[in-house]
Amino acid sequence: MPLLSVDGLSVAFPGHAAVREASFSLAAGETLALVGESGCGKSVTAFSVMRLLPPNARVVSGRILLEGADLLALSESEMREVRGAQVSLIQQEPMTSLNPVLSIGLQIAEVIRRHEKLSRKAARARAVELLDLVSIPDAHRRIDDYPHNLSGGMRQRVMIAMAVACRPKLLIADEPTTALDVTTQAQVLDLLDDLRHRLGMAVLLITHDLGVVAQWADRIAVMYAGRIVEQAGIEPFFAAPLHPYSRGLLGARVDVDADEHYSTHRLTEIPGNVGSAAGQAGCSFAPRCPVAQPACRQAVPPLVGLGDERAVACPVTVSSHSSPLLGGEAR
Amino acid sequence: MTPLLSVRDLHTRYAVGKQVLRAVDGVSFEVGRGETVGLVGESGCGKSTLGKTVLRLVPSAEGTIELDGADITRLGDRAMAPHRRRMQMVFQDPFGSLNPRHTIRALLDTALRVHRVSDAAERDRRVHETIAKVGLPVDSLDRYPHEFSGGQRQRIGIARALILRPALIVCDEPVSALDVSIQAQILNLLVDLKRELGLAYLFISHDLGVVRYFADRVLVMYFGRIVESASYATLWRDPRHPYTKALFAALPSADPTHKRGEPPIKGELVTTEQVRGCRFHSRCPAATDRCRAEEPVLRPLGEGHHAACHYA
Repeated sequence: MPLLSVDGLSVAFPGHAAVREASFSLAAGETLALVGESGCGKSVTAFSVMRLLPPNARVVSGRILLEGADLLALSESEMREVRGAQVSLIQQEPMTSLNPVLSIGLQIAEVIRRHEKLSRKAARARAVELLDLVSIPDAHRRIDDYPHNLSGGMRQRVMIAMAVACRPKLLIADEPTTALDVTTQAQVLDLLDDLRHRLGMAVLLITHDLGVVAQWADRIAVMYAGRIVEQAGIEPFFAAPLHPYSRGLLGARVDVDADEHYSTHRLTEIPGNVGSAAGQAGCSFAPRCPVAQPACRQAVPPLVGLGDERAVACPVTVSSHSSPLLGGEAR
Repeated sequence: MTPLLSVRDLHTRYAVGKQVLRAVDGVSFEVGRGETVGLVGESGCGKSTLGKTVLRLVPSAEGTIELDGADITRLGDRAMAPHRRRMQMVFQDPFGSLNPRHTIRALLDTALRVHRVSDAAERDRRVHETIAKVGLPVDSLDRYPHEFSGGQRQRIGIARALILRPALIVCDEPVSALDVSIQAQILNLLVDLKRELGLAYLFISHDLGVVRYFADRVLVMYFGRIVESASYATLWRDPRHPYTKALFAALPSADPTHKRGEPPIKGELVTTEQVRGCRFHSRCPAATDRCRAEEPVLRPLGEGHHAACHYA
């Protein structure tokens, strides 16, 4: 049984479907990257798992199973026991997630004491251990610092310490390094990766950066306009992305490994924008897609499994794919 | 031939409480006609302040700024006006820099009127010409900024900079707020405009990958100073400053079989401390006693390559 199984999740805001029939699963200890551009529904998906959607959002359908138990069926007080203890969340901007008038030690201890019966003193000792765990130097001294005393990278480490304080089985990291500098980004992602091995924790990594995905994830799910359009293991995906949108994303990115320069190489554009398909039937990517067929504008393409944990929601790709992944007989 | 822009020993200081923050601390560089100079560094290194100081949007404390050989460092508003037209800026967040209550036509027309293009027919002609140049349909002119997507707004921001026919555009993180698929559109547009109009860019970004792709020459900035400068190809092939090497090493490769090493540097840029010696020494894996005592100067390494490291 997978640790987390999201099954046919649809979430709507008034007049806008943010997530549409998203299904994916996450095994214990695995890092799954949920990738897409702003507004594609990746953060809404993450917040649905935490049951922290804004009041005007509504889960239209679907189930979110954590070790088989449907989180959507829990009462609010039951859900409070899950958050922080079994599933926790870190966000892009740690400064806005931390309380500016409480020391970081108190904030970490608060999380521990919410879920475990511990004295203040014992909780404080655990908080020091946690700061140590996330490699904050001089933990016993820094524990009385306030968030504004810390740099952006250090604040994100504090957020991670709070998130893993009760050893959750799943950590949701929503653009955890987008606000950080590139040298700090590598340090923080290495820390997350190290912790997931040491604590046996699964990570749902929400990001728009394919470089981050390639270096720190096991599997990828690509979202476009609320739907998952491709799922794959990391190596097969980067060796040959299948969905036209996935291919476009990789082509549009400045490739740091290749010797690309504007004077000799033009970046591949994906024409138009996500809004191009507003109000149209069929595949949302069709108006921007270089291989779209008339049929693409008729019906929403389903996510079709190609074996080897690979799936793609594009009939053109599926039919042209001579099924070698299925060990197929196509010649 | 005099360079288009020539900056000598420029300093910009901010008062932070009782302390003085030396955001730009003795920077010299040039931008040639039609050249793209990339300015890369982490947040707080002073790169945006440098861009704004060059445009005279922030006052400098010391040093000189020359545009086309004319010293503009201390010109008053009136004397500055003709020079302002020659150098324009494109911002990271186009929405924050566009008046929400003005149509695009009004935004563009205002820029021309401020710069005393008095013939209404001529203004109208240039508004139409410019909106076409940035790839937006003519009917965009009568719409408001909120009706556009992020990428379209950045096109409007570029149109506003372009309409005065500048020789230099300072682009401050112009694609950082945009999605990858839109970034490529905007970068391609900037390349096209440069080719068509002979524009020079000072391209400010935290993203070394984008800078290396887009710039002819790259300046690497750390803690108020340029620590390395070279042509894009030289910098890519042979980075000499440990900080530049660390920036390259930290760029995540989109090839999962390309295994990353340990992060080469630890810690973060702290701008509030007074540092003796090299500003980078506390994070540098190769720092020696000399680095802790003596600040390295930017010295030539041949072929226009400079680095501020005792051991480069």
